[in-house]
Amino acid sequence: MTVENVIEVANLSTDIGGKWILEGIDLTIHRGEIIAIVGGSGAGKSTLLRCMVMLQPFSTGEVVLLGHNITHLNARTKQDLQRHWGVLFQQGALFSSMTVAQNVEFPLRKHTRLNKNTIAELARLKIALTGLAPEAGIKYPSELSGGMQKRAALARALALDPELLFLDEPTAGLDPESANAFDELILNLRASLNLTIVIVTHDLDTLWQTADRVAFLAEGQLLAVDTMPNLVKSEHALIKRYFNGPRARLAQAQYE
Amino acid sequence: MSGIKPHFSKQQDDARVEISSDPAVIYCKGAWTAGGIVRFQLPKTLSGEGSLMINGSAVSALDTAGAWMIYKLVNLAKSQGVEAALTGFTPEKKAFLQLIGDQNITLPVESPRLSCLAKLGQRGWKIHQDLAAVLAFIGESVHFMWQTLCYPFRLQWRELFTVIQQTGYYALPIIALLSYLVGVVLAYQMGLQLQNYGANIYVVDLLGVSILREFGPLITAIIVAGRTGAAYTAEIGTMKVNQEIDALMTMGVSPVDMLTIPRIAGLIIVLPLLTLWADIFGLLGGMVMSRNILDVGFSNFIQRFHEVVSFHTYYMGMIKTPVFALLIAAVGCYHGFRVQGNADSVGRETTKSVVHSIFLIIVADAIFSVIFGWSRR
Repeated sequence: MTVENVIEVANLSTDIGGKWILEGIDLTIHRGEIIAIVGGSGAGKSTLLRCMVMLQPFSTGEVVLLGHNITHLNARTKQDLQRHWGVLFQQGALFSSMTVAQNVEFPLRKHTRLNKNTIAELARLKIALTGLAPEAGIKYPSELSGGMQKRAALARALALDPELLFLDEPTAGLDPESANAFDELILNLRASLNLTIVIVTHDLDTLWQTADRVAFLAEGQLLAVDTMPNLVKSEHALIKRYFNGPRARLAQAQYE
Repeated sequence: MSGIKPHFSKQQDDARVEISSDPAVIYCKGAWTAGGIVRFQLPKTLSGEGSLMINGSAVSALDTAGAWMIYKLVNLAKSQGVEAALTGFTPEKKAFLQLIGDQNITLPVESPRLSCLAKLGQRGWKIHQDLAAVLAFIGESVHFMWQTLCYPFRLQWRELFTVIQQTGYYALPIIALLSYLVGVVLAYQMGLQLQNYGANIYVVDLLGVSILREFGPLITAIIVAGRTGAAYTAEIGTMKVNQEIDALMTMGVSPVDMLTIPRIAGLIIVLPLLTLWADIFGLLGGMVMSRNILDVGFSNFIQRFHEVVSFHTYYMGMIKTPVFALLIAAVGCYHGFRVQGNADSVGRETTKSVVHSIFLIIVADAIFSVIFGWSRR
């Protein structure tokens, strides 16, 4: 299979209230790849993610998603395009007034013409795929623990069989066991569903375990895009500082 | 090439099966995707004795929905005592089918239906809890109000002034406009009747008493209930959803003290002032209308007003307003605290807050009328 570029970001810049959040970002993401975006707080990671999923308009530059330049899209193509990715938000962003099953069924109801029973079965299937017990389906998001909410949100993001998955800090706030399970789940899903996954994360274990490549953002600029072992050897001062703390070195020692 | 494939484009080839009986093979063809299986029906019966092959060499696309359908086919065969084997699928598709087939999606057991008696009990218990919550809220509010009266420096002055600005100053235009219009309408309706008797000048008596005693306070209170009471509920409710209330409690700050007291105090200060404002504009509207259709000039109106409308009338209207303010603010805050952790709940409580406070305002107004009636005897 030839390498296909799923996302191409070229010279992307954006400002919020006169302050430049992103400056000249160039990033290409291939099909089937897991790419992690890292960087200190306020480096513009989430803004980059929001630009890529068309939540945040940008000032200059281009974003090409699945072969479509998102600045010149008519509403119809935009809608079609949006069905091809799933987004897992940092807080889950589950609809609080619906049960988990209804949350997962929602995109299926909106975007497919399957009958009710099939939709309900598919929703239960997605919930099972993310490792939740079937009982979780009838619960409301507020009745679930943080880790279960994340899984439920992932089930919703996967509802339409997206090719592309955006995860905003998927393991933040999870206990180590759940976080590990989540990492495995991500790898598993990539292997079985052939997903392309973009992760914004601070979790060093996730970086070492799951990411094929890591994009390092600092002060709105992309300093490096490389594999984890290469990135930690980087001589750049900011990258060195990021990966030289005791936690980072512990993680590095463990995985190398 | 994957590109964009709309989930239900017309030209998509539907998922379908072709069944051959010797040897027993089901050939799956077309796109087994969420879009492709929409029109697909499972065959009623399957041929084959003991074993059956499901061939997937002609499957053009497969996603979870399609895999699920194939898995259902396998299950259907199994239910008829036929062992189905998957053949001809690419290794990736086969692995994917395996993954889907492995999931356990048995329906959770639904909680048993409750008997009528149990439901009645639940209702009763809920009412009991609601009443307890109301009493607790009143108790806490009164406690902190008393403390604030004893030690005024405890009051959140900043918060208080914000409340006064938000609920008072910003409400001035809408209240002026609406009470002006009410004055106009009242003068017009009463004027039509009075003209029949040539008693035009009595419009002043009627307007004075009705606006100062009833319409001014009531219209203002109802506008404020819709405007401010709802805002109180939504503000506190959103804080509750965001766990801000919990944060306050962990700091040893009572949310009632911190959030309710300034709101109640602010509204008690503001509502009488707003009522005065509404009285002025209501009478102004009445005056303008009286001159236009009843030939009662401004100077006549004012002179007559001095003679027939006593300060007592104004006072009777004004004395109700702090009570209305207390009701609006307390109901608004109470419903804010009752919000549970979801977006629906904020909307539900806000609606309840407005309905309940308007209801209580009108009941209170009726009680005041009765009390004033007695005291006159």
